[in-house]
Amino acid sequence: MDTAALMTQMRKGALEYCVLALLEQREHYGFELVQTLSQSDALLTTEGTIYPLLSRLHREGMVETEWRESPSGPPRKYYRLTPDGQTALAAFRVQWAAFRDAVNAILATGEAA
Amino acid sequence: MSEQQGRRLIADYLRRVEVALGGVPAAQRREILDDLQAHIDEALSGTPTPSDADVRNVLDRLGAPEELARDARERLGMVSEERVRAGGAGPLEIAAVVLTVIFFPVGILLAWMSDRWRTRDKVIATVVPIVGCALFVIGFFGAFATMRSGTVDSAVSQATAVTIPQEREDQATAPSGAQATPVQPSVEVVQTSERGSGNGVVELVLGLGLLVFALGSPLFAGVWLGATMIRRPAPLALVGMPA
Repeated sequence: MDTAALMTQMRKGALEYCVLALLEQREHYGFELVQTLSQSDALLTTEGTIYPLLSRLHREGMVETEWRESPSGPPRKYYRLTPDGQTALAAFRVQWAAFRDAVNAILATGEAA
Repeated sequence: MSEQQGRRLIADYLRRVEVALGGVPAAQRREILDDLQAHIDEALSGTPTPSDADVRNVLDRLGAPEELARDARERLGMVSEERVRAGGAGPLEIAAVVLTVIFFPVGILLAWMSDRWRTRDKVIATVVPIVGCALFVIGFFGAFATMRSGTVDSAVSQATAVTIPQEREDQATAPSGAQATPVQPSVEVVQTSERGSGNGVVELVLGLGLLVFALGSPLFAGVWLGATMIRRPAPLALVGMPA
């Protein structure tokens, strides 16, 4: 598996929780999320893929949305974390820590922690 | 670079995304397209008169429409067209469809073994050829029974006549010539048609119709199975997101 494909696979699972984590801080509109996430190539390379992801989170009730006029420029769709989203994010934090520790341990010592 | 040209670039891009998102439910497709439009508007709102390069840059960063659509299908729990097609028919399903046409009893049995068809479609594919066959048998023996002096020979000849109507007509126009060669079954054909007099044509059309129906119904069943196969992803295609 080449690096790009590997990154795509790893990104897939984590990206939606990164979105939830950003929304935990405050509500964002789509373009804002893209700008923050695309600062790291590890997280977002093709910016458009964020929108199917947001659509899915919305459908699953993890986020709620609201169109609002912007002081300058076109209307913006704001995303807010819901209680369900909050719960999912909390669960991911625990799982992610366990996953990260397990992988790190194997990578460092060749033995399970 | 005119503003019109920029707008056309954007419209083309969104149309390509829309086409590539073919399998995605309409409401979600609409939502994604609206979001992309808003993103593009927002990205260009800082530039009063965006150039061709500005527009292209924004679109390039969004990603190729096909790539975006592939990702969307996976994100939304769907699989790509290719995978759906690959998963649509396994060896069992292909054998079922082909054999249903060429050797109905085995083919339809295989179809019932597969879970790629709804029961309704299996019933349709089963009943139509059986009814077709039954009608043909009934029609055949019905015609056989109406022939007062009919023998097995003439019944067989009549069946022959049904399958080769052209030859039958030829013989009918020259009955004397045909009778001169009594060894050929066509003699019986002529005799049959003479006996049936006016009913001959009706019987022929009826028999032909039944034959076409009887032979055609397994073909219909096969086509029906081929068309109604449930498009379902193959197990491998479930590249999932953690729930």
